[in-house]
Amino acid sequence: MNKNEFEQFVLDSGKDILRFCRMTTRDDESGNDLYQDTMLKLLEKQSKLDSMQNVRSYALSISILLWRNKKKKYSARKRILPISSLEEYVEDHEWFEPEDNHKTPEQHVLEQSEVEEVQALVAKLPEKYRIPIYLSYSADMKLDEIAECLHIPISTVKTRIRKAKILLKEQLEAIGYDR
Amino acid sequence: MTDERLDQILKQALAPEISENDIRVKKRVRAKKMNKIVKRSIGVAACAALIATVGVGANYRNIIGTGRDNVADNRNPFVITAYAAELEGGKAVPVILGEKQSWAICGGEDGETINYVILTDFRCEGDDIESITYSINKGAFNISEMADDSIITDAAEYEGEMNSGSIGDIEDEEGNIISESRFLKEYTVSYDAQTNDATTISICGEKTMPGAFDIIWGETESNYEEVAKVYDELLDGVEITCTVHFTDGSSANQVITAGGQVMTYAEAGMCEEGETFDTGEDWETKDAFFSFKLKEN
Repeated sequence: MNKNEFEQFVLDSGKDILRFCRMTTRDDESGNDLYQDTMLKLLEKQSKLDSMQNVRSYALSISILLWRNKKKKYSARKRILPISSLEEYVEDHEWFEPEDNHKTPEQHVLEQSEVEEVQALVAKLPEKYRIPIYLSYSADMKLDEIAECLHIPISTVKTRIRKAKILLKEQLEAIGYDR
Repeated sequence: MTDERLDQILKQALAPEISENDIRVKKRVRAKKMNKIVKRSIGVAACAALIATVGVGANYRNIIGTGRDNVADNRNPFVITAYAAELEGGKAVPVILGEKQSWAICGGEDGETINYVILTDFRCEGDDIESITYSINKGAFNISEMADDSIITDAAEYEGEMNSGSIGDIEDEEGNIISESRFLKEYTVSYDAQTNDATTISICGEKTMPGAFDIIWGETESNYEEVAKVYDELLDGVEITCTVHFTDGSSANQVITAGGQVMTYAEAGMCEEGETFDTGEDWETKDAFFSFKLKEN
């Protein structure tokens, strides 16, 4: 893979990988660091990437390995700056984007709070269920790609995602989501 | 709850929008060939003491007589290496990314303050040297070392406030500090124990520079001249004075300056002339580097 091919790979798959990193670390800044570290590792192995059929799967497996190795470092930031006021919260979540003009701040807060509630539930899942869910929804990977990334059979991926969804459904219904 | 509804909820929560700008790979590439370069440079450093005795005495500049005599001028020259490469007047040693060298800059929340931290790996080579003292005129040294295995024999604390993105304390799973970090204006090490694997020494500081961050991480690929200028302004005359204390009680010093420098990949030692670097750039590709050099008289 040469420089241009790598840049194209970043354009094609960068968003999926970054989204996965942010979800996995549960913090944008730490997720950005994990993404950058992943891409650096990938660059180091650039010459070997030609022979790989699925660079995206490989990149995501690097992210998972890095995250497992450096979990403490990446999670440390979350303890530093909790959201302390609605004012900061509003600033952080960029209320003033034109496409969101039709929504009131209250609606934004409600929506964002729902999103965070769901993210928190997913984050509490055991890792063997959580990672396949992130790979599926955040990194937009197919079952066979997840299997390749995690080095497990497709049938195991299916089972884990199914079990994860059963757990999530129960918990969401328990907190009032529609049955 | 239907499967479709759950699917919708998960998609909404787990697939937020990502901007094009966020996926740019911003950090610099680790140089794979550092081992080769370091090995070659160690050879240079090992020869340096010999070379010094036959005339590189001009390398050092300011003999501090300690009462006995200044005869030590010619008898005890010394050579400083940075990342195992000899520092010479007018010849910059770049900071690339490798095992013992790295750097980082980050912007403050005000969008104008830039913090820097640059790992140093200075060593002195010479005869009859007992200890070495390093002092810095601006910013501070950030020393990170094992709490029970310090190489620092004497030090003066940095008394200002330092918000740089420096290396902090490292704790184990139980929260015990296993590696301590402190800011110093001056430190001394013994000649025989100038470094160890668990110790990192950096220079760090901060400066308010509106617009500089955009230049450093901007979209333009050919702005290395501007970036080097920003590095230069960021370091703003940082000087590290290296004073060696000889066994006979005399001492001598040399001054290391830090700044920005434009170099080709080959000049920086990232690849050999005629070769291509790992990321596809050829050896003639120019880039901006932080660098150290000896101050000339």
